[in-house]
Amino acid sequence: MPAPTGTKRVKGVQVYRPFIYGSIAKPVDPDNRPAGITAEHTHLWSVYVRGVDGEDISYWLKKVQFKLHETYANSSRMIESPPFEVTESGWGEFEVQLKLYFVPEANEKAQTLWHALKLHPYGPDAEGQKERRETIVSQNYEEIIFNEPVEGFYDILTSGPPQPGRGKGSKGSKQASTMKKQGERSAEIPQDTSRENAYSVKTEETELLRLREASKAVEALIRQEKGALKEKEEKLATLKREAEASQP
Amino acid sequence: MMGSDARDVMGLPSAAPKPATPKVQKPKGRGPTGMIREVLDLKYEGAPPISIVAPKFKDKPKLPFKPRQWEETPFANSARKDGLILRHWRRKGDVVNGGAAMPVTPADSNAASEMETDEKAPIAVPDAPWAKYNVKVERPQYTDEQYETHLKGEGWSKEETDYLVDLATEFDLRWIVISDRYDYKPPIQPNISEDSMAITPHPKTRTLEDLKTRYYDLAAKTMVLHNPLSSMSAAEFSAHEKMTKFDGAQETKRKKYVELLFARPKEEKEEEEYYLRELSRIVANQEKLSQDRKALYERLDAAPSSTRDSMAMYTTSQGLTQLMQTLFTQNKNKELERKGEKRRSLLESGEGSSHNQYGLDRSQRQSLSGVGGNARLSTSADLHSAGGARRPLTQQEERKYGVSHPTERLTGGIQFRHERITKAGQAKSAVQTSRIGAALTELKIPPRLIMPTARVVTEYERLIEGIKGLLEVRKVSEKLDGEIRVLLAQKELMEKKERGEDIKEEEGTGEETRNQEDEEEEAEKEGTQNDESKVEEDNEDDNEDDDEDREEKDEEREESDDEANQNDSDNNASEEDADGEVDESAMAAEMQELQEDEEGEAQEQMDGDGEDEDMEDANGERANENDEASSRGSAPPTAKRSASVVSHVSNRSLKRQKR
Repeated sequence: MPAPTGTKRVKGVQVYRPFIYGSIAKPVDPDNRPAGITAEHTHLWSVYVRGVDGEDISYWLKKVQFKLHETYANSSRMIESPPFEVTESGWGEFEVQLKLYFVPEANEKAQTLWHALKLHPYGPDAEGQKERRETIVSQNYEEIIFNEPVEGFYDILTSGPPQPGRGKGSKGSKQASTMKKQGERSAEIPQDTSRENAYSVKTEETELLRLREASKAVEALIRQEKGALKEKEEKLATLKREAEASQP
Repeated sequence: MMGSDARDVMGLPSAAPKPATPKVQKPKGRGPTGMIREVLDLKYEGAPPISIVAPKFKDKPKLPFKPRQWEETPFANSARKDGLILRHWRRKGDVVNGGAAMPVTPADSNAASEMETDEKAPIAVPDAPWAKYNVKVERPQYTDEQYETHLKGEGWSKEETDYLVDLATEFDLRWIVISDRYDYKPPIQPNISEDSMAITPHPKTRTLEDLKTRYYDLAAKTMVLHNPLSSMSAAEFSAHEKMTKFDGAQETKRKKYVELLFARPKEEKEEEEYYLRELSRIVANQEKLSQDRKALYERLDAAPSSTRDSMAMYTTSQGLTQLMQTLFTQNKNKELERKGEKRRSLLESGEGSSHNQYGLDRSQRQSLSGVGGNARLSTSADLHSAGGARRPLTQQEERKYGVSHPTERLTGGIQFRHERITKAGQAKSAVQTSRIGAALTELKIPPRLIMPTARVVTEYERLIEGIKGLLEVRKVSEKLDGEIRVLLAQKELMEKKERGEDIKEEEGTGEETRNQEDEEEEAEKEGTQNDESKVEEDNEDDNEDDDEDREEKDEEREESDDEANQNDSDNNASEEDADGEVDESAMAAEMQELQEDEEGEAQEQMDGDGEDEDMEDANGERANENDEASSRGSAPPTAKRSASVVSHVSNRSLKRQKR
């Protein structure tokens, strides 16, 4: 009796999908405050989960719950359709809990990620950024790994463009722009970085290069240490011999 | 009283409480007793044919309690505008909690005076309990300006929107009614001539969903305009959420489906019922099957464990399902075999990946028949059979869809790639973990990688392995260092001893006269003092270590720790030998030099920054100090020192003699 469909896993297979989560914050211009923002709020920010380079991820990600700081009204925001993002205003940084709910076909439990909301510039040139009122982006590239996905979900992950008719309604024209790559369902990332996307094969190469150089440095150190070790061993041996000779 | 009325009707005297008419004429004396009255009546004429029975009513029931009283109470209706007051019966003393009491103005009471004349003063009339169901829609308020900036909708003019809002408020959002009554006629501009009339667009027919979509969109937006999202109450927020989530297209689709369902022919309905019956039958069968399976499991469980531990794999539920699956595939294969070679060859050519599926199955069967199963074998067989069922992907496709077949054991579920990086950087002990972390910062690798892709993670893991190896080598080398130091110190001591004897000969003018016994006593006395001085020196060493700690990076903390250990061990060594602390200062100096040389090297290796210069400076200073110390040691400036030297040397020689 085979297991009922929907729970049987494809053995020995691992499927991954890249995505980005993070936040973007912009200081509010005190001279030109947008309406509807509380007086003490200094920043407008959005926290989001999205595909690399605007790729559609809604075929595996069903909804995202953003748990904001408790002082926000309705601090748990469930976003059930892309774009998965929450835009708010505020004055303080805090950790946002992102709970990712997967499509029912995946038959997986929701997963939690944490993201520290960044409003203030960090790193070198923080002061300069503050001065220029630059937009602060703090985001992470992440790959989600589906270990032994259930069969139905595996089919979804490995099938090409979605079947026509699976699209969900006409929710407005603004979504169309964010989902320009709806046809794509791959784990591939763009070859080169673009202005709005920092994650690409090129970035990966740089990262690899950096790691390899570090590895090389470590290997060189090991060689050196081993050479020193040999010398020491010899020294120790001679010393021991001397000591034995001098001992009565 | 009802009773008296009836009496009047019948013309009976009302005064008489009870008519004295005899109920039964006593037939005594008239005839023989024992006869029935009616028979007697037949015999003796003149007797009244019927007995007149006075009408008698039932007594009032005697209740043990007083019945509750009801009274007519007035109530107002807040939904009415005319303030009409009506009354209805209500138990006396009942608290009316139907809503806020509505004060009745004199005018209202005048209007109601036809009904209740006795009402004089305006009293509080409670609102009807059902008034709360009279909920009015909050009309979305917006100005022309707001409309222009935020609320414009495709294909909707402001006038039509207004019209829609009016209708919606009028009919309390009863959409069926609204769509029924919806009859918007665009206003005809007065200056439009006859021909342009022809091109005026025909008023669009709006469906119910169109109206709803437009209205909800408008209402949600005005809600946000009046009250930003962050300051909404939970109820408002949920209302807003509901309105923004309304999807007209989906609604239309849903209705279409429902309509189709409603209009489907009888045959289809019957067919569906048939399928449902079939389904329930299958489900019932499955239950029976699972019961059978359970029985089989039990039998398997109860099987004697004489066949070594080979049964162990079937004791868990997972193992059992595995067994079940293998049995299942086996069955299937048997069938296949029966079906002949043709199909088999087809299958084999079809899936290149499942190369020796049959070979595996055969061995499986053997293993099963001997109950000497190998878990690995069956899982790999599973893998193949499962893999065969799926559409084979080309390598290119695998890369595209991010599919891989890792060799390590997988557990189904979700992982984030970065988890592996965090895991890789963690060693068994916290110290090791912090060392790895420090090494990574040294190599300028951030704790959070920019792109944790599969390749990057593998590279990272390799790097971590390298660092671990490096740390291991360093540990060994430090251990060797320690041993070398001990041996060097010993060697030094030997030389010192010879030199110390020289000193004794040169400077021991007064002390020389002492005899052995005195020296021994002295040694004991000095021993305590020396201990003190040793402590002092230890403290000095510690302080130096502290200074170093401050200068050094975290990475070298281990070295300083070890250094402390070595100092300890040195001390131990010196204690063992019971030799001079005077010598120790010289020894310490040498050790320091030795160590610092190494540290300097390490520093140079680790980073080519200017920090090693600082280190060297510090070393230089310390070296100077140590030079002084050593000079002190070799040529003690005080008599006490020289005395101690003498005593120790003599001590040592004593010990030797003992040996």
